[in-house]
Parts: sequence; structure tokens; C-alpha cells
Amino acid sequence: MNDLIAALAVARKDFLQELRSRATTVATLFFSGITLVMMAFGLGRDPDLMASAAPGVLWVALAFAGVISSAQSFQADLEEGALEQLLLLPVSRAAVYLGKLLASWLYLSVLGIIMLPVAFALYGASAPAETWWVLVLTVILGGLGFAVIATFYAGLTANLQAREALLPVLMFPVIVPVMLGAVRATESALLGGADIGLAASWLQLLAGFDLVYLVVCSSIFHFVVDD
Amino acid sequence: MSSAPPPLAIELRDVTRRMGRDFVLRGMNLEIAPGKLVVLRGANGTGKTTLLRLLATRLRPTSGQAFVFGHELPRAGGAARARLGLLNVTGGSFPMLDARENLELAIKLTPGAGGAAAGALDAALAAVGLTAAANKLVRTYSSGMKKRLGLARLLLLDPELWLLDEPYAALDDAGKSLMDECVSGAKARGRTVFMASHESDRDHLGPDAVLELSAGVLRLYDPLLGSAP
Repeated sequence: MNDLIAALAVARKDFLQELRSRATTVATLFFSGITLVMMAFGLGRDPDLMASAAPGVLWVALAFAGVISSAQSFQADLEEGALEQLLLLPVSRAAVYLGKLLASWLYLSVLGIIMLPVAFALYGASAPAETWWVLVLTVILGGLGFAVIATFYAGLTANLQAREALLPVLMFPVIVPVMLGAVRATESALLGGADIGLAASWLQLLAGFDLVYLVVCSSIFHFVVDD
Repeated sequence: MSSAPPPLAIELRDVTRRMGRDFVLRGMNLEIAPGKLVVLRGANGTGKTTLLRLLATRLRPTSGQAFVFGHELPRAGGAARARLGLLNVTGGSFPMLDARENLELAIKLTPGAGGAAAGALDAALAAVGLTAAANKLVRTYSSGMKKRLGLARLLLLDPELWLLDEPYAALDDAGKSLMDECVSGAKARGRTVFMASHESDRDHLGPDAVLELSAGVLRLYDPLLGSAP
């Protein structure tokens, strides 16, 4: 119970900081939008190619946004020795991790739900009305997977000088299963019909990855933030 | 029938700490009983902050054993953290939260402190002279105000062991007097205070011991003779 209260308090702190600074919101919205537009230019004028590329491009944009938001979350805490002071309190490291994860997850989910229609409109993709719940669920589960891994590695690299370069290098290889599950589930949802069953399978796999990563990362987070 | 003596507030046994290739702390032995006020002196870069961070569980000894109230570090770091508080040089508050939010967060993350009344929080802010600025973001504070907020956190949580890293830095004369009052008050309440400070005119605090850290080694400080072995 104490850990739950502590995790919610840490998540609230991250939300308040972001509401006031808007540093992550501005950076991720701009970066995701630019990624979608640049990739659209790169893919050319073939409408079928554009539509089929939409799920992959969307998740690449969200993956980069996840890197930025997680890094910024720890960067804000490093100022004034506040993270150190937080870790001096008798709170479990798992609670700190879960709090920061919760804030990052909700942020990425909201960003994903905003970017979903933008990406589909830009790439000429459309999803049957009955599959939108699958898309929303994919964004939520995919966002959780990204947040779990990004928060862990952002904590690992927070005190390193080359953290901006190291974070994506360390994080992206680990994130491949989440990326694969999220892209495939999005593709299947776009096709609709019989492929909804396939989307459900990918979502189950995504949920499985999320659970495994969550258990492992929360269990070993103390190695990341303690000396 | 005799009962076991209470554990020492701080106990170091042949503790060393290496930062990179250099040994910052060398074979350090120290025993501080509960309720004592001990001042740590030393030139810049001699390892005072390293020692305080080690005692606060943020750094582990490279070799040797360190205990806080009998809890071995870092193995029993969680139990030790429940009984200590560190005031660092910058105050350690979140710049994008206001003073009240910073203190509320500290209460929520401290098991057992959840019942601290809102009155206690207001009293801590009043004690350090931050009532009027309680709802302003910490990033708008001066260095001295940030230090006062860190002090308010210590007063609010009132741990058994106060670790103070340059507590007078950035404070004006009124702030220094306030810090003196708080340190004296903590000692009067039976708290142990271990303070790293360059201030040489705080003798009126009546420290139980003054130590000097030089080249990674602790010595008793004698004002007439300088450092004595």
C-alpha cells in the first residue's frame, strides 16, 4: 500500500513538472510530427505503399518520442540534486520506477492516440470503424512496453555524460519485440475482417512482453539508481 | 540482567572509497554515539561530501564496513534511510514544484510520515521563513531560499540522524542563525548531527567533536594545535 501511494505521488510529480514546463510535450509533438512528414516524403507517391507503411512509421515516431520523454523525465529530476534527495527517502526503488513509468505510459498513450489519426490521414490509411478499439488497445499496450523499457534505460543512463547517445543505443535492441507486436497488431487492425483475430494474437503477445519486462525492470531498478 | 547498549549512530570500520582511480576515503574508522553533534572540516575536494553520501547510502564503501544505527550499508540501506536525512548543498528540491508540493511529496514517500498534519507542514515552512513563498515554484527561489526549503524538509521529517553538507553555504546572516537554532534544537531533541562545514565561527553550537578530513584520513581537530592524530 505504501509503495502504491509512493508510486502515485512520483507519477503526480512528473505530471505536474510536465504541465508546468511543457518541455516534453513540445519536443515530442514536434519530433513525432516531423518524423511522419519526413518519412512521407521519403516513401514517394505510391498510395498503396504509403498506406501500408503507416503502422511502421507511426510506431517509429512513437519510439523516438518515448526516448525523448523518458530522458527528459530523469533530466528534470537531476536538477538541484532533487533525484538524489528523492532516493534518500525510505521509499522502495520499485515504487520510484513504477511512478515514473506510470507518468511516461500515460503520456505516450495520449500521444499515440493523438498521432494515430494524424498518421492515417497523412498516409492515406483507414481502419474499419469496428477496429478502432483494437488500435486504441494497441497504443495502450505498445505505449506500456515502450515506457517500461525507456524508463528503465533512462534511469540507467541518467548520470552519464553521453546519455542522449547511449539511451537509444541501449534501448532500441530491447524494444524490438514490442515494436514488432505493436506494428503487426496495427496492420491487422487496419485490414479488419478476419485479421482482427490476428490482431488479438499480437496484442496477447504484446501484453506478455509488457508483463515480463515490467517484472524484470521493476525488480532490478535498484541496481540502476543505487551505487 | 543487562540490556544491550543502543547501536552507534555512525560506525565506520576501515572504510575506503575509491572514485575512479583515486582513493577519496582511506581506512576510515569512526564511532559517533546517538545524540552527538560532530563537525567535519576539510579543504575542498578532501572527501567530505563523499563521506556524507556514503553514510546517506548513496555511495557504497569500496572496502570496509559502514553502519548507521547498526544497519550495515548498503545491505540494510532501506532501514538506514528511514532514520537519516541529508541536507545537500543545493537543498535538493524539485524546481518545477512549489515548496508545499515538495514537502507533501517527501511526506508521501516516507512511510510513517503520512500522518503528518497539514499544520506540521505549515509550521516547518514558517520556521524557515518560507510561508509567503510556499506556493511559488522552487525554480524562482534564490539559493538561500532553496537551502531553507531543504531545512524545512529536515524539520518536517525530523530523522534521528541529520547529515548536513555545507549547511551554511548560500545563507545570509539570518539564515545562518536559523540553521544554528535548528541544529541546536535537533541536538536538544536527541538527534545526532554530523555536519560538514567550512564555517569556523560556529563554536557556540558546542560540538561534541570536531574532525578534520585530509587526504582521505580523519583526525580529531584541535584548534590550538591544528589536526591531531
